[in-house]
Amino acid sequence: MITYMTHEEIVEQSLNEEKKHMQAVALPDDLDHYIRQGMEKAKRMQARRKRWIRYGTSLAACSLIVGLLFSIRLSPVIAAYVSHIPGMEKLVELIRDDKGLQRAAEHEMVQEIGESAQQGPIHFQVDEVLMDERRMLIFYTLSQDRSDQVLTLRKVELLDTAGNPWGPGASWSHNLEAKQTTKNRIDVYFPEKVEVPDTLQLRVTASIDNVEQDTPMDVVFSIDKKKFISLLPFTHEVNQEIKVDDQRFMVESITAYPTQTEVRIRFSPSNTKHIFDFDQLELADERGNTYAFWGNGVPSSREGTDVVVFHLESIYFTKYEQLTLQAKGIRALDKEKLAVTIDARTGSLTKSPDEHLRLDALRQNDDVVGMDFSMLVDEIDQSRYVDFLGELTDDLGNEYDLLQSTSSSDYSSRNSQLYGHLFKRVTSKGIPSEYSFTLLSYPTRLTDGFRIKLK
Amino acid sequence: MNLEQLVREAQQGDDQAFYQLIHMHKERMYRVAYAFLRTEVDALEAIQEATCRAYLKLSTVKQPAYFTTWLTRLLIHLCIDEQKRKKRWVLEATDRESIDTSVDHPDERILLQTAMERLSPIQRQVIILKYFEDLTIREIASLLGHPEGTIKTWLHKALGALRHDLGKGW
Repeated sequence: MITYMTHEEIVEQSLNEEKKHMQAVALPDDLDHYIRQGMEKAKRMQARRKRWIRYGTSLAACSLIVGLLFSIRLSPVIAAYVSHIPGMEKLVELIRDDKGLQRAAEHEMVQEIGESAQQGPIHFQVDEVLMDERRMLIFYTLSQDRSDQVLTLRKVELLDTAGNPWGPGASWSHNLEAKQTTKNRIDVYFPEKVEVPDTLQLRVTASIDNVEQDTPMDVVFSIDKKKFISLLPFTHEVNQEIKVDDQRFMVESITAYPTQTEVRIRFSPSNTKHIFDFDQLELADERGNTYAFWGNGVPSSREGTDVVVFHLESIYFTKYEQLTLQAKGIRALDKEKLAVTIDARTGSLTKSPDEHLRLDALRQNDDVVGMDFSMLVDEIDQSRYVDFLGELTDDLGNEYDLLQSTSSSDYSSRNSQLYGHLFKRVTSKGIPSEYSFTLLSYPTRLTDGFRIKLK
Repeated sequence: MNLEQLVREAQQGDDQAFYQLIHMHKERMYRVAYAFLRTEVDALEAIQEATCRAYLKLSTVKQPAYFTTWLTRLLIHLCIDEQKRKKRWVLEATDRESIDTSVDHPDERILLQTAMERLSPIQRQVIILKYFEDLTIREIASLLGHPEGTIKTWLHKALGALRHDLGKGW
């Protein structure tokens, strides 16, 4: 019979036979187990992402994705100078983004520590500390007995000798790769003047493959204040007023510490626009060297409503004849446009600054609220995200916790960015009819940047 | 709860709803993965990975009604990637001599599998969807995101190649 079939029929028959076989294939008993494992894996990855997001936004690093546009400015002379000290090569790697810290290392501000703790197979060592009265960097090595697990620092705390928490907090990056040994840094900031104790206790909790270890590791180390106590800061009083588009602000002073330069700017309360931030705020010397905020650290801190202190790379050890402060652009928006409101029933924006911001979706389920926005940006903002959504509230005065935020670019049109936010209502004042928040940033600008001579 | 409600619940972070969603689709997922990868262990791993990615990317599903299409597409892409990585079309049995030809034309199966092995991944996926999953040309077009005309061309070429290979056996 078969010999009389056409080729078409042979193919059809074979495919049908095969289909029968496929349908007869029994589902494996452990299929559900694999599905559960898939979900578990996703949750672990999401938890990791969340921490990154938290870390990123806390440093306002979102706006610094521009990183790749700049070349890495590691002075070969300094690298050579510092690198000749045994064990310092890695440290140099970790501060290569920051010229000020490189100079500080060159000026022998690095304190050798070498104190460590062991917890099961995990070894944690504080290798060096580089600090002054404004900032502290702790360089550490974290290692384990094998190389196929992801070992990272999950929690970091600083305690004084009495065991009380010390300092405002620390930031560090999470290791995402399976490696036996990692060397990295922990950044600690002092927003106000603090008394640095002679001895500090660093308590870290590690995690292996995202499983937090039960017992933290404690390393006690002494601080050699002689390394920085005599390096007093110096201040240039500036007090120059700048006016762009009728918006005024005063550069009050510039203070240089060994680890950073602080630029103090007072914004006039009578401005009609709120100034969010500057594009590429930097100091430049007569040879064209620039000192900007770069890499890890806190880019700015606010003092009251009108004063913002911007943190730039340190000029402390730099010799210069002239100094200029400049910014390529000024991100600002009419003060009356800062409030954004959303109709909870229709899921539409009832108040927004302009057509750049769109609400694509509003999802509400009990006390969880999800919002998807898209933002149209100009070319200058294509490679950075706008951290625009501040604290969410509603017409009933409920408070919300941000559970998760994501940002991505729409690759089909590079000037469209997508933002997802997931909030949880933490008060129970009822189901709102309107949500609202104040913009933390927005991709609109004044017509020009500024440039002033300081010295 | 219907599919769309489940998708919405899952998008709002309800893990149980997400699990139910995948559970509803598990038989189809397994058949598709098995048709592509041909071994239980590979199919299970593909489903695990597809579940993981679906969980992470669920927020990108704008229209819950298309969840099934979206999930199937995600799984197919994973299977194709896996095949590319392995650069082989896994056969359950390759030793033709040992096959008993008297029952159920098993050598036909081997011939078909060998012929499918020679298809390009794109042709293979069209054959699997059309003949094993019983999808229409329009459904395949929507699933793979290509015009119907393109799907027809691929199908035509795939069938031509199979005819050519299977014809040799007789």
